[in-house]
Amino acid sequence: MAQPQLLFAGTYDNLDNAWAVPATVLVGSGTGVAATTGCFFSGPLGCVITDIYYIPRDLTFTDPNADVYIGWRVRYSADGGASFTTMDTVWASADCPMVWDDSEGDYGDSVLDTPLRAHAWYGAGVGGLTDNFYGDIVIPANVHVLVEVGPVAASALIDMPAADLDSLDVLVYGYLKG
Amino acid sequence: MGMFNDVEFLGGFIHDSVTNALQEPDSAIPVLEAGVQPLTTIALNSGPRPLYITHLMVVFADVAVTDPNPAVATDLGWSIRTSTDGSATPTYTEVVGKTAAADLPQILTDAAPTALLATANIPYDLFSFVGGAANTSIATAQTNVKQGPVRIAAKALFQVRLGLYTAGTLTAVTGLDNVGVLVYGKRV
Repeated sequence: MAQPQLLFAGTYDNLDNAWAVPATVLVGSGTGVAATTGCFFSGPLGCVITDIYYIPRDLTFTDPNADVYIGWRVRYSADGGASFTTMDTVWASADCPMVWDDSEGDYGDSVLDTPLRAHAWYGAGVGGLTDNFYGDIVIPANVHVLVEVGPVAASALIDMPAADLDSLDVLVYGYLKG
Repeated sequence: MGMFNDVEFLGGFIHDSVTNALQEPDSAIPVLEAGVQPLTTIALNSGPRPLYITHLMVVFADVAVTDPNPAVATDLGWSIRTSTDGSATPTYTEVVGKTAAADLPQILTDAAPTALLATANIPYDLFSFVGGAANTSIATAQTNVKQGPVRIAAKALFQVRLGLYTAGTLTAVTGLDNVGVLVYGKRV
């Protein structure tokens, strides 16, 4: 079993009723190579994603007046970024950490500057760092990999009242095959 | 950070243009373990232990080039170099470099001299063409990696240079720009 590596890290801004791509890439295989902005390469033999973490850097946003969770999906492109195939989408309320709990009027599972292990909420998980409820995601070789996030509830994207749910860091861990 | 035999992305380089010289990269893509050395040249640090480069991938963001006159078949040559002299103007020594046609992918033909044989933004493994046949298109998948791992000494600078060759001799092409080099391998 390979040791986990940080495969990608990016900052996502203005999460609204669409799947968001990274506004800024912090770390990634191929970062800076033209036309791969927001993606990382899966490597010469492919890679395996084992964990996705969120780090909320800004929890000041307009009250959505509804429960809001942060969902994710993993996509890849084998044609140089022209088209993408979606591998996994996780956006059911019970599968995602909450960023706004409307009944409590607080940020649910989200704490400023504190990593959230997204996979640990899958299958009615309750977060934490020890249990992993989502399986490994195996990515083919030599493809662009794109991790998108969005505000969701009940497997639907949420239309936020203002474009101010932003500065969400996403860290993707796993390992390169080889 | 990986351990032992884990393959990692060791870093990368971007060449603003490639033509008839073994050119140094114009910028580098750092990783957590090895930042870009702030010197007069572009290079990455190998880190406290040696590393082995197992795959050298090239990515073309722009596959359009100016028709060379006369048009000639063109291969993409490469050179992995290191420096340990500690100088602010490092002197690099080649560890492994390939210039012979049988070791390189062909990226341009005289029959279609204005567009590379590669698809934009798709990585190709330069190591997989070593010891092959001359005039092998870069778009032709090579299933066996033929270049063995390239060892980079600990605490060294390393860089990858690129150049264009025809039958083993440097050749000029205008307009080949935005070329990315992705270095994969293992830390020991």
